[in-house]
Amino acid sequence: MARLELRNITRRFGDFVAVDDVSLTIESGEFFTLLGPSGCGKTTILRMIAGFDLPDAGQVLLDGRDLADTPPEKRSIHTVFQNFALFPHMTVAQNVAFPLKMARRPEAEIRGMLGDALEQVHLADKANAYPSELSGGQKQRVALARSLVNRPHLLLLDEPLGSLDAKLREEMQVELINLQRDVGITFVFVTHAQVEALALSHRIAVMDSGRVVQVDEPARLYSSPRNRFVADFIGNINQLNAQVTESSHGHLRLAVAGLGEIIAPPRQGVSVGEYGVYAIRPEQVRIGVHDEVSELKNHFDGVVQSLLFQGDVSVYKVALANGAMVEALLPNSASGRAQLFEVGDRVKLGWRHDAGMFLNE
Amino acid sequence: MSEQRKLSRSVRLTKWLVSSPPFLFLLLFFVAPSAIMVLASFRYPGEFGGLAPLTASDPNILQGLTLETYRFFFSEFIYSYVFLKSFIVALVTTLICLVMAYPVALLIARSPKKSRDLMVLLVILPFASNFLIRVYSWMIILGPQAAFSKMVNGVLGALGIVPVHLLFSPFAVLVGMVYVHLPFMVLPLYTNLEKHDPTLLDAAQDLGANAWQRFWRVTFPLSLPGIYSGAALVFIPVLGMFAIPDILGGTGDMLIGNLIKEQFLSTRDWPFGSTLSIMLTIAVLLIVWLAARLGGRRHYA
Repeated sequence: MARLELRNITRRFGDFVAVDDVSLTIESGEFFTLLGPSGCGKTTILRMIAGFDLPDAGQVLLDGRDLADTPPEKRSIHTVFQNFALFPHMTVAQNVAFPLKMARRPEAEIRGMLGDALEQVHLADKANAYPSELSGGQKQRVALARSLVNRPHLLLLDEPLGSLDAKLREEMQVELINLQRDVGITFVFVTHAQVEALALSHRIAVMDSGRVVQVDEPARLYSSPRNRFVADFIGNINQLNAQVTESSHGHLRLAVAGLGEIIAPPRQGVSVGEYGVYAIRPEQVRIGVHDEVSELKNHFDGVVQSLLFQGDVSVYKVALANGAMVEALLPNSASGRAQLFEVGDRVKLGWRHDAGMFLNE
Repeated sequence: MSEQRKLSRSVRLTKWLVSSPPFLFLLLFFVAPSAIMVLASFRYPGEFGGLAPLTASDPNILQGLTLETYRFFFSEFIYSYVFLKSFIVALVTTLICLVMAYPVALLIARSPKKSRDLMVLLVILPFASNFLIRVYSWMIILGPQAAFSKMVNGVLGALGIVPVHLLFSPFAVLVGMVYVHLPFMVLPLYTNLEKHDPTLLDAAQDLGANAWQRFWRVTFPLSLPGIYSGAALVFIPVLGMFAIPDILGGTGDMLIGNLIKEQFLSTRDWPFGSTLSIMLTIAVLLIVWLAARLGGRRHYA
């Protein structure tokens, strides 16, 4: 259990600034995720927390103690590597017992802790197997057991689910959540997969080009992205170029060229005349031909351009009068109420006045 | 069904065509000479070298097959002694090569990719000049008038120790053996170390292993296959080597290689030379078999 603090961390590689003045506080027992596209600096941050790399400026503090002079082997921080990095010449038991041996724990204690750790990841029957005899999911669990066996203060996970297939990845996500809750150790998770981040984390830091753009809980990150990058990176979102024509406490009035007016929820720091985008999630867009869509404050005519049937939902791409494409999501379970459309159908799109948001960044 | 049979027949034919040239080569140049050697070891030596005839009309001439050479080999202690000495020289050479080659191989393997090729080239550069010339050059380096000898004896003299002859000594033989065979240890070790996944060392460090533990617990055990092949590439040729002891060892220092060479070139006892060769081959095969058993116990590729 430990509180990790990054204070104004900067790391440069030549002219390239990999991490640019990042400050984060990760609370004890938290499942915290660094999310961003590849090359955004998230792995560099992880390596600096683990001690494999040192910041050019700034501090890494664990429970208030500066780690600058503590080498990786002396930090009570363990990493689960992307390729698991299991020792191929050691059995599962030898792999998991490795950190205990390094810490020179007494043999009896090692046996007990090893048994518990293998039990926890359901691998007691694989103790004498070699890593090459294990499946991807089993390797993953060995790597987790090895990193958790001597109760580190902090566990770092570097895209550990990246090499697993989709179904296994989902299973491991559930296991990770349960494991983290059981052991109560602070997890710092690095990924570029937003679905994974949303499903696992207590809080997420979205990174772009070495900077932290937004730190929030998954739901807030999804509903209130701070700028266009976050909105675009987390889930799908429709974007329409818009200009503010009226800003009041109750709402924003936006003008969209060639389309008309949109009523949007209010936003602080927005002034009349400003350009930006109006962004709305596909599941907030209603699609239909009836008046119920026309009754909404925002509604427009369009033509269905494409239709993607995905089983649980259908995704419609609709071209509006100004040529902009808007995606609308229609749950197929609601087929009794909703109507299925074909490509080329004239439809009405609409959404509530308090849906979506205006983004000027 | 018949289609399948036709296909499998053509597959078998291809397999045959591909594998038969090396197979024939080995048959002709390895199996046949070995068989000749085995046969020769059971015959009597000819009067003026070579072999005595298998059958001759004159009953006074030695003829037929005999176990005499094997009896002779085991009855004279000197031959077992030479074998033992050769094994010790080969073993010590292998160990020295290993200790000297490991840091070199590690250094190359951990260098940036760009400089690795150049470093490997430097390791094999000595092969560009003739083996005998390189060994002869050690005669000059170790000779009594060389700066190296004078320096060593100067130090020994200052300590009140009698001056030593570096050349024509077991020491000179060892130096020559190590010098010639060092690249054969460096290359397989480097090939192995270069393939190691560097994240394994990160993981070991992350889990609390210091530099020493990372080497002994991760790098070293993973390099064992490289050590085995390097050891085989050094140990086996050193065991049969005769040129280096001939040139640098002087007259007193005889190893199996010299013994065998002598049987064919000076003593002219071909059957005994064959027997010695066979004993050496058996010894080497025994070692290879042992090494394969040791290496075969590993579960990872």
